[in-house]
Amino acid sequence: MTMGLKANADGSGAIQVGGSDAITITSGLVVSMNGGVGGLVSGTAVASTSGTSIDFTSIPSWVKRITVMMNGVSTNGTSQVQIQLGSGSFTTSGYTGAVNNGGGTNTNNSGGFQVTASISASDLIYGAAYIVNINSNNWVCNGTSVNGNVRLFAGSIALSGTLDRIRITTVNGTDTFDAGSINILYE
Amino acid sequence: MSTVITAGNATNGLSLSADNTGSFEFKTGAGAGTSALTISSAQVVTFAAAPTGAGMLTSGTSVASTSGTSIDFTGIPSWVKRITVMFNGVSTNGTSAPRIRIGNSGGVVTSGYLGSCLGNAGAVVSNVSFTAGFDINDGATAATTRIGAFILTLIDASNNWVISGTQGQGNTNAASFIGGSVNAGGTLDRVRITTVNGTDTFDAGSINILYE
Repeated sequence: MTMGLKANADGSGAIQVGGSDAITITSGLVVSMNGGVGGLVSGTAVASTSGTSIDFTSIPSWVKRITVMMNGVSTNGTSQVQIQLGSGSFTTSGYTGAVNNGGGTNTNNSGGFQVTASISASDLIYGAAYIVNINSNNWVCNGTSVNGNVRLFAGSIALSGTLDRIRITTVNGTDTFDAGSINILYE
Repeated sequence: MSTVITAGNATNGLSLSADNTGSFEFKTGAGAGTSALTISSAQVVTFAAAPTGAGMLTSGTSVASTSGTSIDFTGIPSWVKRITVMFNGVSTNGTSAPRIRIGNSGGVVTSGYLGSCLGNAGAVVSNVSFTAGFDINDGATAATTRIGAFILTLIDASNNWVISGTQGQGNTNAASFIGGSVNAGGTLDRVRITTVNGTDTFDAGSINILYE
């Protein structure tokens, strides 16, 4: 165990805490956090170049907002891309909401948060989904993405327990990712 | 009371006083010091001033978008993972669409942007792709006023950023929705808001960023 306080009195009227000055409290009362401290955490970017699903697991129980980012994501088919949440296992039904194709046509999908519309194998997906905890184990999702044209989506899901995982997959579950990358931020 | 740690200053040395309450108080500044940070026995942390640094939500300085052809936010810290660009009543004197660009210490990135923007004005819908910046397809006129937020997030350690956002217009029934990505070419340290032609002049509103 280490003493995390630098007790050097230099007359500056400031305090530094931690061996690498992880916390600095200035004489002006401003607290600064240094590297890695704070609430916004990056997952590990995953190349979406193979497989039928990409999972982010072990999401901490204190998380209230998750951003799913897609950069040039592609699949080899025409099944829409969707996001599923889970608690212990993935929830595959009970989602409400819709995706708008940008032209006024809405599609409902109860198996996940659908983030694309009219997708083809040559489409590249760019965009982000924002998933926030509204209360209890109820989560709301919204966002914009591009596959060909801009798509708009929103929805909600009631999980059976504390969220601990996110899956990006396709509605048919068999189309294979073949380009791009996906990552999450959580806080 | 608490266990109190007071920073040394010009008149007093470092002081430490302890009690049995299970709480901490950190004092800084002149003389006897002023409470800057407390940590209660229930582990609740209270700051006297807004914290700064990694993970903290920090405001830029709001800029009146009333002149000039571009507005820059520079000095963005290297630890930033998310930037929100906010428009409040932004207008220009011309018909060129607004453009958001990001950059690094070497300058603003002017190519390699991927994605498109949906403009929806009444029954008229159009998707416009972009390559030279995140261009907001909004059927710009000199009368257009823009209200919205655009969120840039860092997707990986290779400086790839993703944008998603929405803009409404204050002067008419129209909205725009954007999705895209770009590589910052290095560690992002700046955001520029300009127009596609680069010559139209801002003439109303304000722009600011939040970063965290």
